[in-house]
Amino acid sequence: MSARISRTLIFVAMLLCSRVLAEWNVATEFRIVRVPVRAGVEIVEQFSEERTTPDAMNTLARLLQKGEATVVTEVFGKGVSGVLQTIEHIEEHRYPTEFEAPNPQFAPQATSGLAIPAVRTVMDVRNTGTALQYEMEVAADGLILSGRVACVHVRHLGDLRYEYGVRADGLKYYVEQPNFLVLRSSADVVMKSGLPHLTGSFVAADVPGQMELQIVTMKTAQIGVSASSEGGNEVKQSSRMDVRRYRLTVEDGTRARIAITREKRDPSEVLNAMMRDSKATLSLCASLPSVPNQQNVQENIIEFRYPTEFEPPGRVLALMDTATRQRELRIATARVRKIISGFHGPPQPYSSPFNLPAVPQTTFEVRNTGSTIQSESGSVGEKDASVMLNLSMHEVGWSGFTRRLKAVEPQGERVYDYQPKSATQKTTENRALPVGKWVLQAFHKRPAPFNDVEITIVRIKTNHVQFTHQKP
Amino acid sequence: MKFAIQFIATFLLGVFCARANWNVHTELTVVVLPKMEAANLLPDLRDDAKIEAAFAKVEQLVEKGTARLEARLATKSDSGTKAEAKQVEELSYATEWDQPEPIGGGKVPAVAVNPSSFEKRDVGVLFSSEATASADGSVIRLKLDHSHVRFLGWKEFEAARLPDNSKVTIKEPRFAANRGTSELAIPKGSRTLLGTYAVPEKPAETEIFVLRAWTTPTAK
Repeated sequence: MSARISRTLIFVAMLLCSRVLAEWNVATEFRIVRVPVRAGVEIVEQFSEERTTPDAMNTLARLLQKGEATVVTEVFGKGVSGVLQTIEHIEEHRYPTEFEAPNPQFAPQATSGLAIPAVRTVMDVRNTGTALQYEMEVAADGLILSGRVACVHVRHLGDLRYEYGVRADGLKYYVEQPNFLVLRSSADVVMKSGLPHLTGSFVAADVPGQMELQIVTMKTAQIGVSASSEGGNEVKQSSRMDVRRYRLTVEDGTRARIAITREKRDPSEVLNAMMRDSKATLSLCASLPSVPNQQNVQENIIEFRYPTEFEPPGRVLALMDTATRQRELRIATARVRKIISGFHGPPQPYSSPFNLPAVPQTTFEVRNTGSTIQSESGSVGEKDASVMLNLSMHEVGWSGFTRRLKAVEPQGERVYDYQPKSATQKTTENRALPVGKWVLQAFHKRPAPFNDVEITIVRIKTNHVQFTHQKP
Repeated sequence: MKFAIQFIATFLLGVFCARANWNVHTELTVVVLPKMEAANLLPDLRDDAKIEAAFAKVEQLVEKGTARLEARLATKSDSGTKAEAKQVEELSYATEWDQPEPIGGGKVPAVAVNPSSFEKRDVGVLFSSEATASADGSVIRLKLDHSHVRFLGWKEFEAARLPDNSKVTIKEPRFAANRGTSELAIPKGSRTLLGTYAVPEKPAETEIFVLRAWTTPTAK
C-alpha cells in the first residue's frame, strides 16, 4: 500500500512540476557608439576575439569619458528566449512621393503675383531612428545564447531639391525628395551572457572621419525550475569576418599592392601604416559575426531618390546656373506668347500669361548607393587552417547627373532629360580563406571623376564554443 | 485495476490543477528621468533582485518633480486572454489635398488648398498584454506590446506663394515612437524593467518602462 501511495504521490508531483517549465529571460542592451576612425579600427580588432573584448569596452569607456566618442543611440529590452522580440526608437518622417502640375489658371506670373508650385498629391512614411529584432535560444547552463540579431539605424540626411523653373525675379519652383542613410546588419550569432558583442561597424557617410559601432549585450535570467535532466555537451562554431576598404591615390595604391603581393607583407599592416601617414582613408570597415551555413548581411547605404516621370514636355531645369535658366525661360515665354496670341479664347485671368512648359517631376524612384556585403561561411574544425567563404560585395557610388538630349522643339529650343549616374563595383566569389589572416580581396580603380584606387582586404576568424544542452 | 483507478484519479487531479483559474494583473509605469539620474539607477533597475529598491528611488524623484510620470496603466484579465490600456489623444491630420482653388474676388488674389482626406493617430502611451499564469499561479508568461507615441510638430510644404511673397502651406505631422514587442516570463508579484529609450528631441532625458504583474485566484 505504502509503495502505491508513494508511486501516486511521485506521479502527481511529476505532473505538477512538469507545468513549471524552464524559462530564460534575455535582457538586451543595444548601443550605437560613434568613434574616430583610427580608434574604431583598434576597437573592432579588440572585438574580434572574446579574450580582448573587455579591452574594447575599456577603450570605448576611455574615449567616452574624454568626449572623443559619443553614444548615438541606446535602447534596452527584455524578452523570453525562443520568441521574436522587437525594440524601436523611431521618428516617422513623412514626405511627398507624387506631384501634379498646377491648373493652368494658376500659371505663375512673370514677375510677381500668385504662384502655385507643384501640388503634392501623395505622401509616404519612412521610419528613421533605431530598431532591433532578435530571437535567441539559451543553452541549459544559461551561459551561451545563439540566434538571429538584426539591427537597423536610419537617419534623414536632408532633402534634395529638384528645381523645375525660376521666375524672372528669382523665385524658384522645386519639388523635394529626402535622402536617408541606412546602417543595417543581420546575422546569426553565438554569444556569451553578459559579454558585449559587436554586430556591425560602419564608416558613416554623413560624419567624416568617424565610425559607428553597433554593440549588443545580452544577459540571461532563469525563471522556473527545469524538470528535464541534463543532456550532452555540444560545440557550436561562430565566426567573424572583417572587411576593410582603403582609398588611395593610384601611385600609393600601386605601392601598397606591390608590398602585399610581391613582398608578401601583411595587408592590414601595410594599409594601416599608410592611413597613419594620411596616404590612405578608410571607406569601409565592416565586421560581420556569423555561424556556419547561415547568411549574414551588412549594409551601409544612402537611399537616393531621383525623378523618373515628368509631366510633358519633360524639361528639367535642375542644376543649371541662373543665366542658363533665365535664357531657357525667355525662350519658353516667347514660345507660349506665340501660341496664345493665335488662340481665340476668353481673356486669361492674369494680365501676363506665363505658362512654364517645364512642369515638375511627378514620380520618383529609389537607388541605394553605398556598400552591401553578404557572406556565408562553411564549417571548419578546430584545427583547420582554412574555411570556405561565399562572399558578395556590392558598392554603388553616385557620380552626378547625365544630361541627355531628348528633343529639339520646332522653334529650336533643346529639351533635355537629367538622370543620375552611378558607378558600380561588384564581386561575387566562393573561395577558401585562411583562418585568422588578412587577404587581399580586390583592387579597383574608380572611374572619373574620382580617379583613385580602392583596396579591399578580408579576414575570417573562428571560435568554438562548448555548452550544455537539454535533452528534449 | 486499482493502479488504473489511481492513474485516472491522479490525471484528473493534475488536469484540475492545470485549470485553476487566475486573474492576471499588470501595471505599466512610464517615467522620464534626467539622463544623469537614469545612469545611476539603470544598473539596479536592470537587476531583478534590486529593482524594487531602485524603483522606490524613481518614485521619490517623481515626488520631488525631478522625474516626470508619463503614464501608469493597469489591466486585469483572465489568464490566457488579452487586455489593452491606453492613455492617448486622437490627432487627425490631412493626407490628401485637392488642387488649389482661387477664393475671394478682391484685388489681391487668394488661394485655398482644401484637404480631401484625413487619418487619425493615437498619441500617448499604449499597452496591450496577453498573460497566462502557470497552473499554481507562481509564474506569469506575458505577450506584450508597449509604445509611447509623441507628436513632435508640423512639417510645412509650400503650396502657393501670394503676391506679397507670403506662403500658403500644407502641413504634415511628425510623430516619434518608443516601442517594443516582447514575450516575457516573470514570477508573480515581481517588477521588471521592460525597456529604456532616449526621449525624442530631448537628449538629456531617458524614458523607462517598468512592468509589474501579479495573480489572484478568481472568486468562486
